[in-house]
Amino acid sequence: MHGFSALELEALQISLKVSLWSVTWTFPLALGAAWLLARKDFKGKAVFNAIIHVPLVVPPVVIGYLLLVLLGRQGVIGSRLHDWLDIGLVFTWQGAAIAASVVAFPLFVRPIRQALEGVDPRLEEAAVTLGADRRQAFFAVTLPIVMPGIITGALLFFARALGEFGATITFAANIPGETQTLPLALYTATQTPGGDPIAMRLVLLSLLLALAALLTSEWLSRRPHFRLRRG
Amino acid sequence: MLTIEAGHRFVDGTNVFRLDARLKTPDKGVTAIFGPSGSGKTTLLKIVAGLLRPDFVKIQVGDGVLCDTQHGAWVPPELRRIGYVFQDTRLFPHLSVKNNLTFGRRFNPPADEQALSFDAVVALLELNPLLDRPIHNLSGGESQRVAIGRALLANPRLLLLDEPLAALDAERKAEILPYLEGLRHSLDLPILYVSHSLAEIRRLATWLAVIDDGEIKAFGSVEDITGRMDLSPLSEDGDTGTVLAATVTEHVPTHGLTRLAAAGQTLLVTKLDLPPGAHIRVHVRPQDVALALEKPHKMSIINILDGFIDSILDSPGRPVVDVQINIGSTKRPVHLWAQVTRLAAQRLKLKADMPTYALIKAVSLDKDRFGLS
Repeated sequence: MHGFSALELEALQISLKVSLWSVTWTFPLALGAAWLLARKDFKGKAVFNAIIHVPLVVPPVVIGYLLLVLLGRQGVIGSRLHDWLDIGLVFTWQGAAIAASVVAFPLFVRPIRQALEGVDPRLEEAAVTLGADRRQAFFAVTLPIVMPGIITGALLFFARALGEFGATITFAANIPGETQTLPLALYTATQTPGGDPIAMRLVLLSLLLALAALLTSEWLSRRPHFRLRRG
Repeated sequence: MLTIEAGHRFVDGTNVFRLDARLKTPDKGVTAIFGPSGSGKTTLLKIVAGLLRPDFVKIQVGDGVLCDTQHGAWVPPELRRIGYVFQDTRLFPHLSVKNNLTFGRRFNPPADEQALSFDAVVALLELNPLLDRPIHNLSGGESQRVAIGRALLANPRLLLLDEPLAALDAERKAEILPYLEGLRHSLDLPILYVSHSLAEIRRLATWLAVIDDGEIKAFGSVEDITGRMDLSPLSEDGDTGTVLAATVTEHVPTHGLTRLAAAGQTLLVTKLDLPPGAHIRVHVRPQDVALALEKPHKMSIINILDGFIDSILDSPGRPVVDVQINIGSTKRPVHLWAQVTRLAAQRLKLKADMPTYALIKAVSLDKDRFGLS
């Protein structure tokens, strides 16, 4: 068995960095969106819902191109980010993370929304009569009850972010050591003559990572604090 | 005093419901709010708890004004310290019984010594065997006990019970009632008890407010109000009658009877497990009371109460009339309702102020007819 090369380990590291960072900063957004969809009625809710789900139904390349238009150096938002804050996202791992987050976002929102719809909002009312304000009631009652939905959403999101290819290569490009995640490195290997052994090792790494993610989420949802049976 | 004033117009499509309730009740003991479904009972409780914000509201518990729309005062519900026991319990499914009980303590740590301790509440409601159980394998009655304990441990200044027994079958009701009675006796906490069961109210409440169509139609002691046949929600209940305040005087073990004193007269009933001196209330159904104009002899009925007719309620078309008898004195009247056929009333020529004897069979006063006061 050959050891993994520096390039391969770097791809693994970038993949992990991009996916974990995406999960972290997307979580509050996904929770907020799921809460709005599950609990609130507002004008334009159908449109809001459709926009969130768009990445599920369009090719990731389209998302990548849209991101380029919006956040690229010449983009509507990107040019301002660059001029005012000296932030550039194109060709950076942060750009790869944004691409992965947008594509995987609906997978995070859906399970949380479904879990929220299964929670009786009157439980929060009961918490309020016991002295919790609305915010405390949400965090002390509703959030723990929907935790299994959050874990499911986080896993689906994480897995989708790990596998992201089209939007990433379009928006953040395929730069070894910066934006070259496992799937991008694998793609490069398959395009290189004699790259098959490298490709096999990258496939192995991808499988190991996916397995680790599955086992972690299984372990999390089995912890007694999160295990719920409604009687 | 506990003062509740609330006015609100609820519009639901073409239906308009007006709530205009005013209630002043002593801030001790149990005040029952009785009324048919849809009369505004639960709405009133939600307003008191602050879960609904009506057009006009004033709530005062003792010296504390919780809200007063005229003066712009509004204490948010989480700061009101009003315990609310919901009909559907609303226990938190992700927490054990113990963590449900202590939930309120996270937000309202007991500030004074008077606050009930965890151990005291657990003892009062006999929750010890349940503490480590998850919520989903509690029975209906057990869930309701936990819900009561959870409300008590949040250190409330007022406890609201919204038909806590309505969802339970007769057996579970019988299981919970003693705990509610215990609550009333061991806590110095005003309780508002919403119910549409007069039987429960007679057992538990001291004061009774009758609500109908969003308005408080009558308020007074349970004895006084349940004696009023003119209040339609009460007479429609089909379980009316008189509630007499009585004291256990002595037991008569040779006959298996207990002697009670009520309105200065004596009542014999089948043996009660209560010590002499205990204050109780006896529910006497009007159909269990017979009338005689002369003191009868050689008769099986052993309770013969001396009185005179106060009024006769005779509505056309009914074959029976309701007769209100004063078995107390002119100064301190104590009323007892008797239901007799119109034929009997005509034969005896019953009319107001006529002296009469009210006859009550001891066996008609079974154990369901008694409540502690």
